[in-house]
Amino acid sequence: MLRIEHLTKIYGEKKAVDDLTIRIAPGEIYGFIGHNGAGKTTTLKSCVGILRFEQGDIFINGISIKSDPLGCKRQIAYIPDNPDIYDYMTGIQYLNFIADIFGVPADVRKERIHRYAETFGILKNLDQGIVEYSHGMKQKLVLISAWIHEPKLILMDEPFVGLDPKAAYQMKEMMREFCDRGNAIFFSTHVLEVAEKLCDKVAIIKDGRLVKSGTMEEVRGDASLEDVFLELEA
Amino acid sequence: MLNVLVKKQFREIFRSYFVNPRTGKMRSKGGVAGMIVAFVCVMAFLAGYFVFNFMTIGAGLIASGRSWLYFCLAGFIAIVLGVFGSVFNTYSTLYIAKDNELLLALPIPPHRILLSRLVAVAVLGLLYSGIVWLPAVICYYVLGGGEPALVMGLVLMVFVTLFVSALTAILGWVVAALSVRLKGKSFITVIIALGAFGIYYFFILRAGNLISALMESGDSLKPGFMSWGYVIYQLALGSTGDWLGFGIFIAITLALFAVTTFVLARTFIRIVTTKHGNSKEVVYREREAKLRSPRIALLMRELKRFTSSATYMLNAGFGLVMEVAVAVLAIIFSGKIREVIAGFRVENPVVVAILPVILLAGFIFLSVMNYISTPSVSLEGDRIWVVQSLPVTAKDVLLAKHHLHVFLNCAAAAILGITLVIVLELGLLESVLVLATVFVFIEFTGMFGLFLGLKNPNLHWTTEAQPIKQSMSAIIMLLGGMLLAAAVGGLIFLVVLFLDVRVYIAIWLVIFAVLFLLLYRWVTTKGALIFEDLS
Repeated sequence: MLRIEHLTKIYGEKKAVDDLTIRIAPGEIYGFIGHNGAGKTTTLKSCVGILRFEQGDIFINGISIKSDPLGCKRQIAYIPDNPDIYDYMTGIQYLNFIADIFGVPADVRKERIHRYAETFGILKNLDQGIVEYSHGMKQKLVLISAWIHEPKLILMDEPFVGLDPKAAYQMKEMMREFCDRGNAIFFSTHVLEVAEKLCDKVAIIKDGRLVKSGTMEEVRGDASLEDVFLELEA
Repeated sequence: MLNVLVKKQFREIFRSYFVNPRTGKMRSKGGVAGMIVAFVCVMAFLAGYFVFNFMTIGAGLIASGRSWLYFCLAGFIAIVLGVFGSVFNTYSTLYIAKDNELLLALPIPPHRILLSRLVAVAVLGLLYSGIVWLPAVICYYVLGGGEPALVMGLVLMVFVTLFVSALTAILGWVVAALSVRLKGKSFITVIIALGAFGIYYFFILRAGNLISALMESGDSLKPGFMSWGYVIYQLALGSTGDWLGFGIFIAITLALFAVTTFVLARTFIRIVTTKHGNSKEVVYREREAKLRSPRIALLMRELKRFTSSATYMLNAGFGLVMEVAVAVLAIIFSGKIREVIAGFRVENPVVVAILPVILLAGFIFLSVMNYISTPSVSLEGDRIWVVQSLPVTAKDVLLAKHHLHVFLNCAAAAILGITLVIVLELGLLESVLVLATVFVFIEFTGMFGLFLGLKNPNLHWTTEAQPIKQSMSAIIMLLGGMLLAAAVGGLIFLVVLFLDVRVYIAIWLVIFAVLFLLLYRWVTTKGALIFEDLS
């Protein structure tokens, strides 16, 4: 589903990501863990096609992000850590905009918007301006916008920030259901307990380099993920 | 602490002079020098314009012992220009700056945040009012006003600035207070502002007649100024060397500024932290949606962006209203216009012959006031990741911005153009040539605006006034367009004897078409790459 091959991204003289290789298969929820500034967001943005990188390549279902970025983007959805979206639109206008870009038919999107907005409890707020939304509401709106066009791969940067417990639970359910249908999710998080319970595989990055990766059992062994992470960070 | 906040404000206002917004790196010394030189040239041009006017007006008034009237006019123009030039900038700087909540969360007394912003507002107000007041004071000295008056006039420039700042802060407060209560405030704000501009321009257009009437009426107007225009009258007296007037104006200004600051400080937190728009909950009603193509979706996004912001509409779309207004006036006064042309046909047929060129120059002048595409790249701001992550090309995103610019401009130009060719009774070929050149010019300015926006992007603004009206791109577009209008309208006089007017217009049509094609190629290739890399 997602193949990151020897990804290297350099800012000035600093290597933000250094020779990173990760492979994510269909059906996997893949966690991405690292300290602040480790290179998680840089990696995710490179996968989405927002950032150019110096070396390596990224393939989404065999399509290279370098040679066919649009082909890749048609299959993915990206949820950033900070849900800065168009505050001059209403919630429903934003969702319709995203749906138009992905060509979601009118009747299909109506049903999906209703379902996901009701799940996240913001159905009644969709006609309000996004400028009036709280951080959590914006986060939920971005999540809905990711799900309504049914991508194959979702890339998320710290998706649980700003979500209330109910919404966080519902999102975990949706993530599992999404991957059980043969899709994949690649997300970064600082909440190691969530990663432990949710992820099939995990990669730990430190100063731009991959230090450990594999299934949850392979990475943590008998210890907790937190212990493993702290030991690697020491 | 105050100096730290003030420094921050100035760093924001003048950021683009020292930091390249595209790379985020500091400009070279040469680059900074170039930016400053460009700014100085703009100011010098405007100052020269006012010097010319004040020398003309002053010669008559000062010689006839009506210096007070001279400074009443200068003071009035300086204050009105200062207030209307900066009221929306004041509103966005004071009340909707992105870092208001961040600063309020810090251990900084709110009145110091407000004061630091007012200092920044005062500096911008100084630029608008000073460009009028300083020439007025210097011209008075040159015309025999004396050194004491020169010194007092220069000192009063500071207080005129404070006076303007207080007035704009009050007006900005009104706009902010209304914004909290109103939904769809952008259009209401635009309507109110247009009404105010209408009044402003009514007086400006009649300024010549008004000034002549004032000069003839002379001292009979003094009682009127002393009552209704008391503050400006005291300013005028102080500027001529009267110590009492000098002191009274300063006292009034300081009192107004102090009261304004006190009232604003009391309401500042409430206004900046109250959510804008309707506080009533709007319950969602499910409606049938239509599937739009990605290109239409991108175009509608641009339209929504434009119509959601009063600052954007008023600054980058002001010419749209002007063009429709001119069309209406042309219809109303069509009879008189035709009489004037008939008179020229007899007395000065050359003027009638070059009328299509004058029309074209006028269109160019109005059209560049609609620089809709110019700030559109920077206005993506921190939200640029949305379109960058979607399956749309940067080319399509940029063309959507261009299309909005063209659609709105061409609609207004069509209304005005068709009206004028009928009222002015232009020939068919001239009419087609003028309109075609105008439309091609609009295509060109749309692309040129994108070119400027991509070469000088600023995604990290704290108020949208920065990319819309404080950017070098906007200044280049406006001033460049005005110079171009002057060139188009002026060069004809050099060639009219040996070049057919229609050929002259056709040459400009070709020039604009070639420029448009070159820019189209750049924007859709190199420009698209730049857009993809913006962050």
